[in-house]
Amino acid sequence: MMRARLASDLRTIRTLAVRSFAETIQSLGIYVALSIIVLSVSLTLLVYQDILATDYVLVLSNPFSLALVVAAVMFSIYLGALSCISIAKEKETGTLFILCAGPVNQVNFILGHLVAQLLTFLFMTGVLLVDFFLMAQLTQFYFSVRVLLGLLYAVFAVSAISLLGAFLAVLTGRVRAGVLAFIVVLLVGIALQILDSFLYNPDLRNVDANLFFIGRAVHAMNAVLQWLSPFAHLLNGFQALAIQNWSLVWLNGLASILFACLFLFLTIRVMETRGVRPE
Amino acid sequence: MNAPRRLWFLFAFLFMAGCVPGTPGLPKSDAVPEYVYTGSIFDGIQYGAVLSPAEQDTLYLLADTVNAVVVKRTEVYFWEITQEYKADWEKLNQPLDGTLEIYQGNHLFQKLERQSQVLVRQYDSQLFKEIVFGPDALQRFQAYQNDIQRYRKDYENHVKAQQQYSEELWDRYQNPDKYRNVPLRKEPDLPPPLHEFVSEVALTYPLSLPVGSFTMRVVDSNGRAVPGSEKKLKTIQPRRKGISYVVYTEHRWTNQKTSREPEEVIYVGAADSLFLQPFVQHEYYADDYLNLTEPQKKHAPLDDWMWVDIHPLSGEKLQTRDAKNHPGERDLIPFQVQQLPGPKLGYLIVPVDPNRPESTPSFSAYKIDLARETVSAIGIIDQHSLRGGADRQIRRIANVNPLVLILPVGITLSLGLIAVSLRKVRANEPLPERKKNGHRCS
Repeated sequence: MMRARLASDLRTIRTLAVRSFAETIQSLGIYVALSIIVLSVSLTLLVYQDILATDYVLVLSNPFSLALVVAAVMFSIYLGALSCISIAKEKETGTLFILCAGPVNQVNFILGHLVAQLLTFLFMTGVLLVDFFLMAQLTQFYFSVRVLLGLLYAVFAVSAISLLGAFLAVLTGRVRAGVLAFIVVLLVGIALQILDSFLYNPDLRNVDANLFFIGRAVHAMNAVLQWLSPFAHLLNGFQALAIQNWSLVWLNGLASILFACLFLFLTIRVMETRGVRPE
Repeated sequence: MNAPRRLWFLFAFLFMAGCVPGTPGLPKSDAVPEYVYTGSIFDGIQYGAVLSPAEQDTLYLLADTVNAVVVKRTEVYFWEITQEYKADWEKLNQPLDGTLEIYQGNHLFQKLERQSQVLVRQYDSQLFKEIVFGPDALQRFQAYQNDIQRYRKDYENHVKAQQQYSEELWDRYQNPDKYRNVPLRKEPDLPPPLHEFVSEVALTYPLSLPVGSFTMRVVDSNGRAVPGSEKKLKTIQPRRKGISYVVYTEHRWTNQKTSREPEEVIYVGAADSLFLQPFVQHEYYADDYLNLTEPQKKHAPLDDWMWVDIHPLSGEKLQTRDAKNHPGERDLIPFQVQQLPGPKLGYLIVPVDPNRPESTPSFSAYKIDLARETVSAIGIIDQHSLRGGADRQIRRIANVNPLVLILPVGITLSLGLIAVSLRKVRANEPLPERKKNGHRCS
């Protein structure tokens, strides 16, 4: 009985995932996101070529590291927004209600979406790896296995951010509000990070006492955010990978997994509490 | 304002207040008598003077190295210009007698008494690299004083001999016939210079501890802790050790790049020759190391690691490998940078001629002649084996047309347009046909 139910659930998840994935790769959005990432790879290598033309010598541990960070952040933003839009749209248009009237339940629906997001991530990673490999062959810049490791490592943070998008979608129940909430969460994180880098300077104590206190407050908030934000886990994980600090790599990966589980739980709870009818 | 709203404001205010970790202490402008820790601490490169006033709660040291500290009572004032606490030694300079107790947690780890101590450096160097304690320190200082006396005597004799030599020269000039068959004797040599400098003898505690956190204090002859002499102590050690290379080409020798990590690749553009200057380097946690070397300098907490060049490498050979993995070796060679003669700007980098004493080296480096050889990897041979942390890849980069590099962007966008077009075409297909092809969900 249990086995039959599990098999049925898996079939449902697979059907939902394939449906969602097919829809994604037939839309222009994914190719625009990929183009931006590919452009960042090309521009980075062009800049390095220019530096070599003037300085004759350049020392780099990983010429693709900047592109890797851009790619991971773009993947996360794109997949988070995609998750938010598609789930909110399903709820807004009533498709979710129709699906749940059949053999689909809330858990299957969210897991189906998550699997679709992971498939999309793997598709984008595949395209990007081909680009990295071609660029490395063309320019002779060294393509390190660490780039591949970094891309695979990003899957934890991408899952967490994707589920954050799903959570905001079910919480708001509307596409516009969901996307807006997702953007606000992203911008607050980025703004705090930028403000922290400018304002957390002990020398400010001698310039402006008020600014110094604001700097300390922003730093404290950012320190909290470093533990809460999947983006921070992603970037800290990359740094740990660069210096081969494996315990820190696993710690950040584990934090992302915990956040993914938390957002998954919250999303399902909100769906159960609020129901799946269009609001 | 209603009650819940007021509560929210109160909560926000408390949160902001909690984020601000206290008002920073106003700098002191008046001198205050207090106990300070001072002495000579080793930073991996040399011994430097340290002043740790009461305002600084922790003293940082390198683990498993010998350092010299002493507690003194002095007047401490804040110097606004450099934002540092300074000691007015002239006004008050009173060493604190007693035993230095070092605790690890509540466990008494070490008890130290003050000993005679000197610092030693080579005469041609400014870096104190050796510290000597106890009777050896007194012997070393005495030997240095004897050397100075000997050198003074030798120099006086040299001045006298030089004077006689000058007089003889003048006499030769005045009476050439007198010296017609007498050969000119050799000009007197300068006495051999002193080879080392030894500092004045000081009474300090020899502090050498393993990695960890400690507390220390001075207890007087009655076994009572002297109030104000407590200080935290943190000892640090390098996380990694390796070799750094300062890399430059003959075209732009002023534009130097440093390669610190073994994973780094040295990319070379259109240059004919490459110079690699090797250094022994240690990697420390940046915040700890800066607290050790610049304890009073305010810096933002750095959650990062930093490499520190300890000393230049000398004597070891560079192993090279070409694209086919054939090994080769080369020595570290002293080079001199020479300005081009004439009005034309430019310079030449040439090996130092050992037969010309006036030819002083500008730097010592391994040279790779890229015009005549292909080198794809390097390492340092240390006693017949390759030294860890010294491997690097070298890659020559040819310029690729920017349009070729941008091409993948166009391909990706084209793929997107094709996917969207196909979707539209399939959406316009008649429904029964789609059912027949099995594309529609049941």
